[in-house]
Amino acid sequence: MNSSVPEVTFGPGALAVLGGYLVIMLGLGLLGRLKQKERSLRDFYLGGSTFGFAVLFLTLFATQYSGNTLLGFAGRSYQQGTTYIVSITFMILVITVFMIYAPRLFHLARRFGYITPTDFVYHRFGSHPLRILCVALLCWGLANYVLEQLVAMGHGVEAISGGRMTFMQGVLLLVGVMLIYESLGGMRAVAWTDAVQGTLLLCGCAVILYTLVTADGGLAAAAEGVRATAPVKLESPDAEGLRSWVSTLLMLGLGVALYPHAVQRIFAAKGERSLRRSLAAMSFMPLGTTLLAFLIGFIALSRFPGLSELESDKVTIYVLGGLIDRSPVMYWLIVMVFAAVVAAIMSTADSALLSIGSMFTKDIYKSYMRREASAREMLIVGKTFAWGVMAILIVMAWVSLETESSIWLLIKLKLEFMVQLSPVFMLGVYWRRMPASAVLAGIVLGTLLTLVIWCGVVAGLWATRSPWGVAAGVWGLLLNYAVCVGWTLLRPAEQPATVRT
Amino acid sequence: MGHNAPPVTDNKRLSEYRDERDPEVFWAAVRPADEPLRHRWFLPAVVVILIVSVPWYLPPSVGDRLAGGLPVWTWITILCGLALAGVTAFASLRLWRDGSDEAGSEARDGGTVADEKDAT
Repeated sequence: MNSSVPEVTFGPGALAVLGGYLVIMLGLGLLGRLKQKERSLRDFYLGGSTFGFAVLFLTLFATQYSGNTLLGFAGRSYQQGTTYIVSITFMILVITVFMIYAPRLFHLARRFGYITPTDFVYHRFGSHPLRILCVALLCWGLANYVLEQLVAMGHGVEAISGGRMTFMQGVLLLVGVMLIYESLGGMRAVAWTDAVQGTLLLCGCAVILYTLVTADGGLAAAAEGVRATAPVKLESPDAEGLRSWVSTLLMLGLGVALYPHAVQRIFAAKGERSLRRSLAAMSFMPLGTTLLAFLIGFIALSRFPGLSELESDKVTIYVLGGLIDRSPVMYWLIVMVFAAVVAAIMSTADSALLSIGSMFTKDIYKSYMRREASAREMLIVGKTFAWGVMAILIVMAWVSLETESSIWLLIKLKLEFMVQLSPVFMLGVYWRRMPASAVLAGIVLGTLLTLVIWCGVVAGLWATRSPWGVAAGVWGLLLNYAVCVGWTLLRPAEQPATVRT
Repeated sequence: MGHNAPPVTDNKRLSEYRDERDPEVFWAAVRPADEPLRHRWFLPAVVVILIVSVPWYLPPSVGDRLAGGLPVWTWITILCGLALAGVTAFASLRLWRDGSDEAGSEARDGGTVADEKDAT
């Protein structure tokens, strides 16, 4: 570890705050259980579609802004420099992309009662292979997403406990609490805990932002520090950097908009007015949260030069840890911020896990394994599956710690494949002529191309996963869209059936 | 399981999608009353903002000029982000109307559309 990095020592008071917070989460889980109206998939996975503006906005906010935003994005900003300002644009673009397909998807969901995004896929295309492929890719992406949150959980608790708890103890503690409240109250408990977590996150971000721009000479001093230690990180991107910029916009803007747990929040809205107002508010959130992560990385660049890629994932902890001894008020503010980081991590992981359970239960178990399954049986199966997935992911989190994989690498593994589903939703809600075969061919070929580019690097055939500065997943996506459009246009138009005489 | 647990709902009463397939019904129901893409300026406005937000028109040396502790060129991207957020929020609030009856259900503070369907 770099010698200039401050030791973060929170003391027992911070542990007490964390403990109190976890008790509140469990209480909300129990309350969610008591408020259940009926034992149905809609009630458990969508909270009965009863969320008004305040809860919907806070659950969308807490779900979209994860441990990755505050830890991983700050680390990426540290590694990449000022060109990572692109993160603000792509997080806003996610909501803009919602404006393209969400109005139709919401309208259909209200009419036909969708529970999962893949309900739409089957309804629109009527293809079993396409539905199964979509579930597989979405669950793959979500499982990676949860794994990323587990890694962040371990780092977060390790820091807030001042080393009294290890990485794995932190993971097990938070996962245990999360599974209990989620299994008790389903989406209703998750959304209510999200509301608390989202409020903490909003307040925490405001505190950090104020602290960063006022302490130690603020941004001006940081900029001078960066100019002295790494001036190249102040420069605007060169030609390859520009291609990489556009590639990042496409992959994250289109990919993050497909997160099933975000789509299910569209289904969980009480009505269109709540949803429209929530999304309108969400479009401005990156200017606070994502900008903040960017600034943390920028300031860390001036204060702690020379961190490795793995260490850079902890720059948020280092930057805030450097402020902790300033005053008792600052100590408690920073403790609150760390509680907000833990909150952000948990709120994202619980939502993603709930979504995995719902897709397995509704789209696989009910459709292909036991069509006669009752609501009670499906809920038990969904919870059991989610617990099983979580057990596997905990082992993988431990492995990722041992192999020193950085958070950013995990994100790439997730979105490169998930973004291949973009044509299903973006074109699927508008273009009636597009058949399931075209979409299936596009997804398979796009995913294969992405895999070939990744495997080529592993096999030593070529050096980069981003040929010409463009990510493998975006090359796959371009091929995917070309196949979808080309296949649809070149396919002979369907003739009405005629009767031979 | 405590005796206060809510009753298990009859599966047939759930207002949940159960693999029905009728393309005609699907396509007849797909269009909301209004949506952003029906307004011709929306997509071009988004594309123009995105093009301006990418600093392709600036030389790398522009990083020498700072304002407010950040390179001047990053402020262009931040302002474009603000513009994109504004257009998106406007689209969400003004260009999207679902046209179904859920606004009424929100105003009543009562059950949801799904609940109403279940009741009928």
